[in-house]
Amino acid sequence: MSIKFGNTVFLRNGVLASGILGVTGYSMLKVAEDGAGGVTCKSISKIERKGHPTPVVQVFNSGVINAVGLSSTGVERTTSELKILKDKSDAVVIASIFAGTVEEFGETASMIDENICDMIEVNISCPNVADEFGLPFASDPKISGEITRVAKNSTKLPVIIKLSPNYPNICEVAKSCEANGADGITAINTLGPGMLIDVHTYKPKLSNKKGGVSGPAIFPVALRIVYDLYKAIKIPIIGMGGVTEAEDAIQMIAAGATLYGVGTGILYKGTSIFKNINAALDNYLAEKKMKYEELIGIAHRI
Amino acid sequence: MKRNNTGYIVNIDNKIEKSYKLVEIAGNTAQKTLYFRIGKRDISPGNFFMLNYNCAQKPFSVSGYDGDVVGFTIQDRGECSQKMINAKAGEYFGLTGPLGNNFDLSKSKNALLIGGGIGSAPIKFLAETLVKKNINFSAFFGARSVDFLKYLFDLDKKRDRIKYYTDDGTYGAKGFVTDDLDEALRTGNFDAICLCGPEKMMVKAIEIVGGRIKNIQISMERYMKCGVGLCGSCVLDDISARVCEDGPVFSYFDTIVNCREFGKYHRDGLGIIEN
Ligand SMILES: Cc1cc2nc3c(=O)[nH]c(=O)nc-3n(C[C@H](O)[C@H](O)[C@H](O)COP(=O)(O)OP(=O)(O)OC[C@H]3O[C@@H](n4cnc5c(N)ncnc54)[C@H](O)[C@@H]3O)c2cc1C
Ligand SMILES: Cc1cc2nc3c(=O)[nH]c(=O)nc-3n(C[C@H](O)[C@H](O)[C@H](O)COP(=O)(O)O)c2cc1C
Ligand code: FES
Repeated sequence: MSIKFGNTVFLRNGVLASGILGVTGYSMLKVAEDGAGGVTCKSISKIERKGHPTPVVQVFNSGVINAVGLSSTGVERTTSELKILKDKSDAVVIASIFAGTVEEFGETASMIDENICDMIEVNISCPNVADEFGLPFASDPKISGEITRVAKNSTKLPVIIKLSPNYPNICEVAKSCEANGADGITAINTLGPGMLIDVHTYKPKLSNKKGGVSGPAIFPVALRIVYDLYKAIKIPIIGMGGVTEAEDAIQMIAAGATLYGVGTGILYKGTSIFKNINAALDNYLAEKKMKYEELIGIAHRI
Repeated sequence: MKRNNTGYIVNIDNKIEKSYKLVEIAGNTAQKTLYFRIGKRDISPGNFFMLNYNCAQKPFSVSGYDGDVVGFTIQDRGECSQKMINAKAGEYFGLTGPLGNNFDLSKSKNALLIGGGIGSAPIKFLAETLVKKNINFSAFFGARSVDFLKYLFDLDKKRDRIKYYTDDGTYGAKGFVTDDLDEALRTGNFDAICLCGPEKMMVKAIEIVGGRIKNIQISMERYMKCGVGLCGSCVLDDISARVCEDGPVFSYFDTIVNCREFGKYHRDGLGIIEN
């Protein structure tokens, strides 16, 4: 099976979410070998940048909260890691970028090697460093549109924008990105921020106190957002947030996602989650005598 | 939450942090052993926990477990470890675990265990387990000086099969833990080797073994940000294995032999290569 996402062809329909096993080339390669059709690296910035001190990830009953923060080894080092993925796999290589200003998004996009990467994902939604950078870009449709345009003008690669579920105007943001040339949308980033408190010390369990929520707990919210976005925009969507099994992926696609994404699902099912979901999805489509394309957005047509 | 409808079962309970009171802290300025009463859990030698104290979290191997109280031996190496060895009994630590896999000597009748530096901590627990199960073994422990070895002296019962080495000769033989390895292999009739310690020591040991013993198990140490298999900071080059989830114990001949970074480099918290 191969799926067209805009003009990019994916050989398999699952995408590794940014920030999960996305630091080294061989780490990302393993996820591709285990069945991901697209692999996104951890969000990178122009230059090296430190994240938050540990603990940065805490598991709870139905998901994870994280405040890894936007730690980055910089574009150059990450490019050499992505080259390993490009050379040794057939997965679509997605470079996730972040920046502190609109202009810097353009500078960073222009540094992404067009021979190594197939697509740029622009992370305008990470809640962790909002304080440091001032404005949370993802909350503002106008600025999100500007970032899209600047990024588009800085590269020949397709540019997709990753949205935050934490602002009620998410459809307006998506429309503004579409109007400014975005080739696709990734939804959603982590929900929240959320918190966990130790019951003996009464201290927050993350050093950053608060962190983004991911995993099964956020699945219904992610699904609803993908459903709303499908109505609001024409460009394709990567649907992620709490996908842990084939039925979740099927729901995402039925709600309007062209591809499904998995991050925290790896905690529950290992990296072979992609292989297993894809096999179950194939069986499902065969049983229903349905083409993959027919499943996309079907929930809107009945 | 456990899900078993797809065949892949991950014990999520072990990955959720719970806090426990530090019931006892013992040792000297070189290193201390911290004890927590965690009750009956499925803990094997090689397993580790993420310890979280006062907003600092790092992985530590289990150095002893009696079915109720678990011990971690911590050496003063930097910011986080220093904070922890200065903790007072009665304070609470967040514990996530047991995590990772374990040494597997189920097929061995006579193993040689080698611990270097603080790598001796999980080897001590392994030795204690073998004593309990009445399985034969010998153990070599090496360290800078006697102060770094004292916590191992609980292993009294098997004293005759244990050799100590110190760099400065303050206890046991003066020299490296690998000094008598060749001789031991010629006379000891070992069928397995378990290693934990500085990579240079492990490389040296493997060199000396040559191909004489096929069952070599080594415990790896890499920078860990999450400990639960998500962040990717502990993944080994070429073999794509996560030390926290697929390790920390690996078969040398099945995996590590193909690991380009073994004995050569590791990555820091950002993912930048350090030698
Ligand atoms: C599976 C596992 C089990 C461990 N078990 C124990 C244990 O039983 N007892 C114990 O004392 N420690 C153990 N450690 C090490 C421990 O987690 C910390 O890395 C150590 O205490 C240093 O942390 P720190 O914050 O005090 O020092 P830092 O300030 O982080 O570092 C101090 C120095 O150590 C170096 N360093 C840090 N991490 C690494 C690394 N991964 N490889 C090589 N050099 C490194 C740094 O470069 C620096 O020079 C284990 C680590 C792992 C991965
Ligand atoms: C540990 C961790 C780190 C993450 N880092 C990033 C990141 O660097 N950039 C980004 O756009 N999203 C990041 N995310 C968000 C994920 O890419 C994803 O959007 C979110 O977790 C929801 O999907 P999931 O429930 O399948 O994990 C991170 C998530 C986790 C759990
Ligand atoms: S420490 Fe995060 S994947 Fe191993």
